[in-house]
Amino acid sequence: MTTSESSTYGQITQEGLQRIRDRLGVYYHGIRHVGEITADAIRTYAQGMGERNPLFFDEEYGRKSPYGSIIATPIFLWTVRAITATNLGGLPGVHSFYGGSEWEYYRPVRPGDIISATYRPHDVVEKSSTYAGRMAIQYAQTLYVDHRANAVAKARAWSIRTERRAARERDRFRDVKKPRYTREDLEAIWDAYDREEIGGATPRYWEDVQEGESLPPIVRGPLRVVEIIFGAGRFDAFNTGVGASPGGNHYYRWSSFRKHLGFAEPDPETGVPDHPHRGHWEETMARLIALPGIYDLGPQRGSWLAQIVTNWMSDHAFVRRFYHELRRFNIEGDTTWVHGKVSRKWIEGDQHLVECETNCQNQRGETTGMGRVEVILPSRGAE
Amino acid sequence: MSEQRYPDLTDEAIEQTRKLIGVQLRRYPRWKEAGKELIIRFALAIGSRNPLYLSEELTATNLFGTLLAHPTILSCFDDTFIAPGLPGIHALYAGADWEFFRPILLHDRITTTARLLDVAKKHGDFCGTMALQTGEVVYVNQEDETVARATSYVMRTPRDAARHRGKYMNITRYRYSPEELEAIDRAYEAEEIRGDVPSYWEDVQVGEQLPPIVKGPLSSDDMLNFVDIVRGTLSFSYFLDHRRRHPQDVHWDPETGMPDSWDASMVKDSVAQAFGFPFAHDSGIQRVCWLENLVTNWMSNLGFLESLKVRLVRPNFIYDTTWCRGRVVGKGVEDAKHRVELEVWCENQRGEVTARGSAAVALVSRQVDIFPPFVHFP
Repeated sequence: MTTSESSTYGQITQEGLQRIRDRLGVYYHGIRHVGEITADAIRTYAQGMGERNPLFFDEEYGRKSPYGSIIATPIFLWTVRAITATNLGGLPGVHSFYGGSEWEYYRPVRPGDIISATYRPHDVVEKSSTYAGRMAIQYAQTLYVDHRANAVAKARAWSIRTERRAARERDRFRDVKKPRYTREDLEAIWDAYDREEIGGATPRYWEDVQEGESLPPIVRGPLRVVEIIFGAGRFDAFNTGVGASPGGNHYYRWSSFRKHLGFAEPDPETGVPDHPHRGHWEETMARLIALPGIYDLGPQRGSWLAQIVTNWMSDHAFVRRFYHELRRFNIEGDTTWVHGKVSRKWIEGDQHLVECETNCQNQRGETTGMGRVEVILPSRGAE
Repeated sequence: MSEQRYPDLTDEAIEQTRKLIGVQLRRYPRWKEAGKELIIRFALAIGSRNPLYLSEELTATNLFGTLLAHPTILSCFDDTFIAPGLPGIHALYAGADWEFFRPILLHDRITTTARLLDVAKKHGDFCGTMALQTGEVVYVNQEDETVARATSYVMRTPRDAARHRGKYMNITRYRYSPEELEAIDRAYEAEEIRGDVPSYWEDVQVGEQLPPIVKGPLSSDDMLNFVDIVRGTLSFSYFLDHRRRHPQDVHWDPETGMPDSWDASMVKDSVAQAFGFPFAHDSGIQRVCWLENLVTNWMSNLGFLESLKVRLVRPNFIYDTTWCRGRVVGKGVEDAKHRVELEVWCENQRGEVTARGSAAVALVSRQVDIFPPFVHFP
């Protein structure tokens, strides 16, 4: 169970990129047993993201809503399948970061749905970054279909592959300090939590919305390790085993590491092979990729870029498209303020649409994520 | 290290907590229904390889005609961590006595009632005076049948005293040799699951060893999968709500000045060190589940686990490896049940016992009725 001694281990090589290109266009099936959607799964995942809208977790409330049941949050389909396709191999030992994703939704996801996910890697692009020099961006498309053969959603997601050693040599974030919160800082955050407004049962009509209008901001933070590992990890629960393994603990992880030599990054102190994504919650691994601390799981931040809109739009609306991309890292202790505005308003057929632009800013004033959410609103005219 | 950061455990505080005895406690169940996803994810999270709890394909041929859950899945409906009162005093899971009455099957909806049974003052070398809280959880399914009952034990340990004594602080991280890692590998491969081959009561010998199973080295991913499914966490404003109700149930991070959950100690050494553990550690509940996995592997699909009593005696730290072992210590026939008594325990790579307990299993008999012991008659 030692890592590969190959001289190209951990490097982005032309051979590695070619191995990825060889797989482009091939359809890969999701793991079938995660497809049964329960109210429990919808609720626990939503609340792990900090979601306060009862439409996404309160079954009693859901029954009385226009949907007649609770529905899943836009980001929820991540739990059916992590879709960046980096687990197909090709660049062993090269780190992978979630970059963002773009979604198109065709129907709400409800308890009782059985959803399968099939994905198809569709591109790999070489780039460079100040963080780690040479990098590759891998794209994959995923389609979600329910048990009645209805299209549920389509997604395109990308992950960013960087060399761990190159990141350590550059050490770009060496001067980033952990924030230090005063009581007043914390009170301001808690007040913002208290002020969070949920649109709820009162319809927000398309006619009443103005282009350029601001959405009430939301706050998420200071980010805590338990919120990363025990609150947002769901999408990884079945994918912590790599490759074709069904995931799972102990034997499952162990045997998948053995099958995929070079995937595990051993713990330097104990020599135990372990999953490289633990940099999300273990300082030792975060240092191996030259980050100033442990960092969030991207889809969680992605979810906030839609939450600000779903809070505002009311239960009578439907998210039709959702794009988000992550910039920089959201490090433990960082506080994220999410802002948004209505950027566009139009009619398409009988659909009354608005587009909202959203962004995440941390306490240092850095933009850490950008979102674009397209929503179908109810119209006064249509009634 | 000597400064006072957290409250001491006083007799008054213990008395105060005794007032909660018998009161039905408010619980926040993570799950309500044993759906397919939950049953399989739980089995994967405890590292079970028993297809009885993992494979839908098998349900056509198993006795239940449907997917069956590991008995300890009940931890997902109430994790049996019953530790009301004593604000500011740490709570360490110390074990549970489970009695199982019925199997848990696909789509069962489980509701629970929980209460505190007792609070007793104890002494130990970890922190001197401590308080042992005994709790009870009763699990009922949608047919109003009592599925199981758990008596749980939580040790309340004053943090300053534990930190000053530093009982475990000279433990160093274990460096595994390649041979040791290989041995773990081989043990995983050698795991025996009886499945449809019955363990007949008549064939079991007192003194016989159960085939051991290994769980480890414990990784943070193991904690992710297990805690996420059993307990989860209170994220963002939910944590704020909780803290307003329980202002002392918080770890103030000295570096950033921000509040954090004590559950962070399951992944972050610095939080564990604030209450006297050198490293991040398991949830304790996991080892109870692993010992269940040891017994259910051995008893075959035709046996029924009637009781499992486990006491945790040492912490299981991150990257420690746990070997789950058992031996048959008795057998008998009572109320027409053919029963064997087992001694079970967990041992780490240092040869230390970290948990010990017992189990009672009803097995099929060659002598009597064909029905296995978990079938109920009108």
